[in-house]
Amino acid sequence: MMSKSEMSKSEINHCNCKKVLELLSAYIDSELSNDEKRMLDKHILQCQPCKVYLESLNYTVRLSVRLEKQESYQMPKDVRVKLRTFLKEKCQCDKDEER
Amino acid sequence: MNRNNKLTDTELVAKVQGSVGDAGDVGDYEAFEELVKRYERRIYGHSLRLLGNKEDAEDVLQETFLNVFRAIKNFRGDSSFSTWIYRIATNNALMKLRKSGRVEVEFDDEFPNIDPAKGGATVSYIEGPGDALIEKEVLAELDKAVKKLPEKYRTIFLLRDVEEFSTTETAEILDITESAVKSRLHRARLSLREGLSKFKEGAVGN
Ligand SMILES: [Zn+2]
Repeated sequence: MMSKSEMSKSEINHCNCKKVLELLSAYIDSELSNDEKRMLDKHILQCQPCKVYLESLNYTVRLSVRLEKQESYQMPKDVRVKLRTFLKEKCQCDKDEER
Repeated sequence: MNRNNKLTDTELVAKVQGSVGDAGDVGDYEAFEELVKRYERRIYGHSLRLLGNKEDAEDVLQETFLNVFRAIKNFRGDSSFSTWIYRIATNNALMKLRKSGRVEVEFDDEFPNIDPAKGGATVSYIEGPGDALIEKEVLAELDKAVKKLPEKYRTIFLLRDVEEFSTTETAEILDITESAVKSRLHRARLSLREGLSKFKEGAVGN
């Protein structure tokens, strides 16, 4: 086990990789403190595996948003029509009861 | 003369609540219909991604807008209308999911044993506009991986990375802490990335 000061001395230290891994989402979401971000930037610059890992995680996140527009999740027309009918009927009942 | 489409959500809510325009107890149904029009597509998609079943998604869609209509008088605007309706829809969907018994709440393993330094991160993806066919394939694989996420993680992932709600809004929708949102989202993303790991450089499409 290395002490903290020893760890920060060594330039490429894979002991930090686990810690870096934990922070990657926060890094992508710009939620890190300045100190953490600096530590991570420095690590990524020197550690190829973590750099590649960050890129692939980033890619996963950027790809995810496209699930929103994916065809299989689009609302069919008949669902829209049925929703209108359903609501008209139910909401009208509510109004009648109020009177 | 439909000017409703120019109004903000908040203005529409006020009209439905009956506090604007004609004095009356029932509010403005056309304004309500405009809210339906604005959100139905998103609520349906969100429900379907949560439930994985079209009939269930349609039920949740209908229940959600009926709930909205019935509860809108009590909506105080402490949160935005959008987080409010997602809260109702998500709750409805999760209730349905739990009733059906097809819920997996936790990952089998505590945390994946990922160590980038040990070559766990040798996966990289083809970037840029790239090959549309490959992108489609990767997206389908991602979709599969999302379906495999335990519910607790899938819900957060869908709200944050697919619906693009902020951490604060997601915490509000699910009534959990922001740090819970962050840690579960991270766990979900790592798992999804692993799910895509078969698309190694050069191996895509094989
Ligand atoms: Zn590293």
